[in-house]
Amino acid sequence: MNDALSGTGALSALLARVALADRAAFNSLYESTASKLFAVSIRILGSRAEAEEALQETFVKIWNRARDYSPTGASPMPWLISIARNTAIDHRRRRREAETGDAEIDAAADGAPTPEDTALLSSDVARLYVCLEELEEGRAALIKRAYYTGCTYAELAATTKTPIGTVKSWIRRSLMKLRECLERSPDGERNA
Amino acid sequence: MSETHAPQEREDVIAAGELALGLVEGEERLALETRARTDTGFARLVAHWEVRFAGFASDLDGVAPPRSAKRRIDRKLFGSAEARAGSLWGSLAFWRVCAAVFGGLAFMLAASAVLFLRTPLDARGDYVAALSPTDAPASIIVRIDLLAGVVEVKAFDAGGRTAEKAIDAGDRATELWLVPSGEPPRSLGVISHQEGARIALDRATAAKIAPGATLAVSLEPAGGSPTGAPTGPVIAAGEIQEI
Repeated sequence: MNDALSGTGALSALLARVALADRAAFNSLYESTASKLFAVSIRILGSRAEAEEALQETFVKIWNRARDYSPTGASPMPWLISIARNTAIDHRRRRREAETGDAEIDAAADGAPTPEDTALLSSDVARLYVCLEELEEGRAALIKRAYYTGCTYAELAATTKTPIGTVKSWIRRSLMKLRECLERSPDGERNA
Repeated sequence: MSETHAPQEREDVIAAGELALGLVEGEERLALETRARTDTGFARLVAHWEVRFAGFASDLDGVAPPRSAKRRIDRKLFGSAEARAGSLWGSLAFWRVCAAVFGGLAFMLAASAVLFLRTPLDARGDYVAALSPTDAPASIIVRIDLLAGVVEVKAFDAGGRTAEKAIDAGDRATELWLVPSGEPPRSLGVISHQEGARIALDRATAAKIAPGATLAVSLEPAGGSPTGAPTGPVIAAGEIQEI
């Protein structure tokens, strides 16, 4: 079964117990992951108060959906982050914030880890950044921006002052290149 | 490298990525979301992107949420103490009525273990309330009679009346699993959807019935799990308690 000593194994085991309505496991899962998920919510929403609401919704969803999570042997953290992100994006869309909030996000848009940092990250994450590096100038920042704002093509075109057709073709080509790069990953790595 | 992918697959990979990022809107988005709900291959592509892109979050430093956040989450999920006290399944009287439904005498035999699947609501006293499957108002009570070597499964609706079926599983089977403490799950068989399903217990399995073991119900392909282990989502679960 899972290696209880590794972070990944411990998280997977907790999630499996949460699926069995184990509240102690839910509390432990919260202790281990809430900080990261709160950070994701804040990054997307820009406001602690809204992020708190989004965080509550996130953990309610985690409790209710734990039984839908199929363990793959990999860390469940991306799954948890995905729930947090989608919840925050929904909040953001409902809020229909003015563009002023994006300035803060722009500043961090190119914050990719340095090569030294990359060695410390999990291989999956490191692979993402390696592949982002292979994209043409500015494309990685575009993808990251889309990730953190959940913006539509129309919004992306407006904020980058680029025709929507151009933005679409940039993103689509980038997605295809990313996918090919990610599939070239080292042996033993599972690709969906 | 791109030539190894069929044009349709390329289109799907891109659409999945666009959906994962949230770039599509309106009709197109609705269509893709619908597709992700019904087409497991496409859903897997979307999930794949979401997993990969979650890597962006790795350069975020954690921020501790306020203590009140967890309290609010617990209250949303599990209700206040007052709410729990008022719940049907927290009521001793109701629990005794359920016991009577199974035939009070057999119920009291020392060799019988009555299983209540645990709800997220903590019950008062030293019994555990029955479980409501997440998306259904019904509750499942499982009774194991070790003397007779029989597992009986009954479903009750929110009003405490016998329900025809606890779970609407569509064309999938609901399979009951015994998970002895520290051991892998073993199947007790597929539960039929009719009320009062009975399953025969073999000696080896009966020997594993003990307080602390868990019972769980999962959704499986028709006919039950093809692998001998749970393959589908767990929809109800709880711990065995001896009465």
